[in-house]
Amino acid sequence: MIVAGLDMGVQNVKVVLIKDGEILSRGIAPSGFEPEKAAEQAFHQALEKTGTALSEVTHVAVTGVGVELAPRVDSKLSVVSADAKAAVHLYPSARTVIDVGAEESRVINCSEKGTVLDFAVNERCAAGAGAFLEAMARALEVNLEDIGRLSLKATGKASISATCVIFGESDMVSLIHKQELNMRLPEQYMML
Amino acid sequence: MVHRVELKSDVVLMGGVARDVGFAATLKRKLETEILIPENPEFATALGAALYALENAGGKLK
Repeated sequence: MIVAGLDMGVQNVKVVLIKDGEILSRGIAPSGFEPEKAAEQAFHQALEKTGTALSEVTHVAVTGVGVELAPRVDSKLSVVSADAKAAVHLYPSARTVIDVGAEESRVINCSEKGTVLDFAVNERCAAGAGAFLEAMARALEVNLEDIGRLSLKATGKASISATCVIFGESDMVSLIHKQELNMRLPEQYMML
Repeated sequence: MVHRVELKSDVVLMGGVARDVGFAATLKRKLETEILIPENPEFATALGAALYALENAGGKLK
């Protein structure tokens, strides 16, 4: 028996397949303007590795902001519930889950059974989330993958006043142009 | 946000941003706690959904 979990995220659609009780494969595709197509792509990627068709998947459980756009929905669950389940599965001792995606951040308290006890969400504001980091990487002209590593090399820090991605990017660009802090690149990351 | 709920150990960091080592290091320092990060943090939510699918289909993990 094959079952699937589909996460219709803001930035990427993710699929995880479980076959006969074992995690079989994963698939990922950028959500773009057509999350439905992205989901098909992610499924294709995950199924390709197994040589099976979507019709052979017994059950598809869907989560994420784009749940209404999923090509197939056998059941739905909240992202918060999905996070708690996954965390306790991966680490039975997990009691706090911090999930930072492209636009949403969540902090969840969960039980030893993986059920949600309490949670907090920053909805629809990318302050401190992935989209913010992406905007800053863009402003600094470096790869998104590199900014974390670079920030660890900082010897000092600077600050920007805005927490909003849009204003933050503008602050950052002003700082780069002024050069008043005479910062090396790592310091610029550190201020994030 | 962490302080809006309770900070109980163990703490797991997931989602795509968990791949940012700078973010993880800063969080660890600010929260003064160890942080567990799964191998494929961006797939964690999808994994949770897959586990739910398995429950709904009457299956069990090995």
